Amino acid sequence: MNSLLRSKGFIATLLLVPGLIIILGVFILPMFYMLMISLREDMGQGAWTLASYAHLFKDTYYVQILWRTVRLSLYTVCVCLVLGFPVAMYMAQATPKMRGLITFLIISPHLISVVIRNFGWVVILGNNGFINNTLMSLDVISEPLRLLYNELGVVIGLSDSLIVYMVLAISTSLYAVDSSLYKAAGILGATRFKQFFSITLPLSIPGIFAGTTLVFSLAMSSFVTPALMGGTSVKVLPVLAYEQMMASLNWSLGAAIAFLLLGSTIGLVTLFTKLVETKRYKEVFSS
Amino acid sequence: MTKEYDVELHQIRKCFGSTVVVDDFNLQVERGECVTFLGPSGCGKTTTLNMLAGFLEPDGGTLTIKGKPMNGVPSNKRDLGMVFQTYSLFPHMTVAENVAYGLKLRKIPKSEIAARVNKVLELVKLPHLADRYPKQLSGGQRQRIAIARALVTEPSVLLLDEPLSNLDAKLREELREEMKRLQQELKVTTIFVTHDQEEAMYMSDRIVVLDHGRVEQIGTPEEIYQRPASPFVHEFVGKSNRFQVKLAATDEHLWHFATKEGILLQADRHSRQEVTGDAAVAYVRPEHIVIQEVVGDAPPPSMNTVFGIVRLVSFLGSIVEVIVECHGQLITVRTGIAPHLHLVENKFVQLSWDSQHVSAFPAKEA
Amino acid sequence: MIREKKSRRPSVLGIITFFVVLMVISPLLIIIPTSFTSTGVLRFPPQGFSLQWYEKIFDRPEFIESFGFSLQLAIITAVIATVIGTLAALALHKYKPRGSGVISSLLLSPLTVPALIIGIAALLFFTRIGLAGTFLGLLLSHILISVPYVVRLVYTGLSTFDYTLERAASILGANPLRTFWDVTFPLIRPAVLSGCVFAFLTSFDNVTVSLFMISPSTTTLPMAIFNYMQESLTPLVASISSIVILLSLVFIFILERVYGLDRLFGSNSHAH
Repeated sequence: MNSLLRSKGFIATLLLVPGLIIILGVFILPMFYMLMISLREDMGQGAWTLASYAHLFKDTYYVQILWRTVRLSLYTVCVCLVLGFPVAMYMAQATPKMRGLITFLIISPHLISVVIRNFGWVVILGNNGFINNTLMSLDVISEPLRLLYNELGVVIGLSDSLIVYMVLAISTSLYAVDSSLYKAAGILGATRFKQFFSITLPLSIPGIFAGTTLVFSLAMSSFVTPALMGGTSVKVLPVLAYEQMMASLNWSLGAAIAFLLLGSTIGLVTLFTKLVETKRYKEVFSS
Repeated sequence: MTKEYDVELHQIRKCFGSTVVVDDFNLQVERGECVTFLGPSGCGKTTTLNMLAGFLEPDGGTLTIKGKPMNGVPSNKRDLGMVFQTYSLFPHMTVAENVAYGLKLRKIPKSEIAARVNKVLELVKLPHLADRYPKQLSGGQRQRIAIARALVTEPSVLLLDEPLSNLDAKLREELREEMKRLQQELKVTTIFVTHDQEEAMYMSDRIVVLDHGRVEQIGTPEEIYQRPASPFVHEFVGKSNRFQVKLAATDEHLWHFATKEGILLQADRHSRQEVTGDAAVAYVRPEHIVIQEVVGDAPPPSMNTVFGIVRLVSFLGSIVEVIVECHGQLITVRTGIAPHLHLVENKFVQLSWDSQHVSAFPAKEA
Repeated sequence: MIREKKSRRPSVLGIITFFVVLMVISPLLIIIPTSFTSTGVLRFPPQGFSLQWYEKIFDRPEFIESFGFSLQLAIITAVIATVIGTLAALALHKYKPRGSGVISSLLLSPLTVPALIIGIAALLFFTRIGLAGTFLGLLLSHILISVPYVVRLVYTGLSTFDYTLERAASILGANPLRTFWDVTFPLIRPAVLSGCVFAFLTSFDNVTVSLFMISPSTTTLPMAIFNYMQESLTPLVASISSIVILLSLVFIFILERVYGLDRLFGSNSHAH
């Protein structure tokens, strides 16, 4: 009687199995295995211990790196927000055609490897790069500015690759704002300045929130940009994890760093969510 | 009776979870007949059609098409034609490809496919659209192509799932006329599902009225309209005035009823459902009520006659609809245009009807 | 007042937008002229014109080899991830099996964890089961990070698909497989193709996961460039990058044509 229903469930299962095998075998299981390695001695074989984690917090070296990672991520969020918000506002007012063009232009570089994008920045920011050459030929400076291989370089590189998320998140929330609100505010006597603070900004909060958490999480875990544009002097958690894994071959410490990275990102994003999602926010924006 | 039926439903039953959506559905459809499933949404008509099509399996009962049991047979092996509410033309195929698809699956030679596609497109009067894509057609054209696609394989049964409900009123009339013509010309056994009673009356040889998964009545359009088998059918098909009555007396030919307000009704007993107990409902159709002007004071109500005040007059083209308030109840009357009648609001009128036009049913227990 | 607002506001915002867009695309734009420099120093504006840095690519077999290897890897990844992801999306959207909410978040879960962490976890686990440093290990990890995108793109593509079309085909006599090939697949092809191209680019661009998966015999092009850049910065990187940029542009235009980049990333903004 239920043969058809049962066979439908069977077909669905059959179609899902390959995907689930990949997810379980290459992701879920390895994550648990990594957790075990970080918590047990002798590559997950020996006694349970928190030694790896204790090691991370005993030494201010690691805490400093964690703080630097968080700080650089926050800088990146700020740059993305300050530069991304006007772009999103412009897109919200622009014609659909213009909107499509801007979207295409800011997304397409994202589909090219970050290694190559970072290389482009090296050409722009390097001692012989575009900016230093231009400024020196204009006699503004006599010595090349140090724009690379420091925290500035990392923030520039990260902002470049992550601003797309901020722009798209904010513009999506601005597209949803009814344009008649501006007319209503205008008739009531609000100036453009007032309209921005009473309509645009409050109604874009969900977009800002989504963009901020996304950019922050991605910045926290990025490896290539800090490695290529920060050089050896700007060490962040992902670079540290890579070194522990591949150079020092201290895998339990590497695993612990991975979890420290994951935990601190999730913790900070959760904290931020708690701060933003007040009662009023939920009442206004929960659909 | 060893008559052959194209479609037979025997005690069909379907449940979704714990709700019974179709129960004890019995029906036999003769070759060439057009049978309509009529009822409000949620009555089980579409569910039954889906079981016929093979999209759903019945939970009980047997389903036969052309004498072959169909339980468990997938829809692609049932040899059916179907027209859907949303047209469901394949958007990536031209009109001709859409129509040819069923023939191609039957591995019919190319030359024959072309000829048959041409023929059926001519039948729906759209041969010039063969190379268009569905997107380039109007709603009415799309539905005609959908009909052509369903007919081209010469299916044993044609299923129509509210095929007209997405079209505007004028197109709907035009298309139903054409569908009836095609159905009669090709003599294809047809099951038609609709919630529109006028469409049902127009199209069908027989109508199955459904409510809450139960068959209320099966009959010709005339039977359904003139002799509704249940209060539901009476109220769903056509307009009715409903009277909540008590049985006052019974004689050989008539029931005698009275409403709380004192309206007296007589109903013919013959071939009607027996009224037992004293509570009943009685119906009179608006067009069976005769309306007359009254001069002077209101006489007391007598059998099948009431007096009242005109509250609303609406002109509906060939007829006039009048709403009259009698003893606190509103009664709808439909009458032809009568020049001698001067119907205006607040006019005092007399309404009367014949006892053969009163249908009575035992009241359902509340 | 309103009119004044309309004419003035875009100009300020427009200038900022122009500079942001310029900032985002300039790193790529600047690479191409740099690659034609005739000197050995990486500088901009470049000096002279020559094709010598393109010729020099041939002196570095590791770039040629890794380019071919990356291409192969990306194609195999794209094909497998597309098949797996499309099947899963179909199962979720069409059959809505019990627990489909859990299953879909499971299928999308690799997007919620940083790629670096996925790479480390995979390295540890693959070492244990003997897949570390093998082609299969690298391939599996690339499939893993591509499948979620395919699932999401195809799932979104299916949301506009009308299942009565499948019923119509079935009534006309098509069996389930025929129905899929004749009706369902042609209509979701744009979404599947986009998923495939996106999977290709995901694999072809990846560094963060590859980092932990490669061996000397299985080095991808981005990894080769990454490693080379850490030792020396010559215009050679510019010439190789230019080739990759042009190749990627082809795929990007396909994506834009077939699917629309805005739709691609519109749903992406929920990934953490």
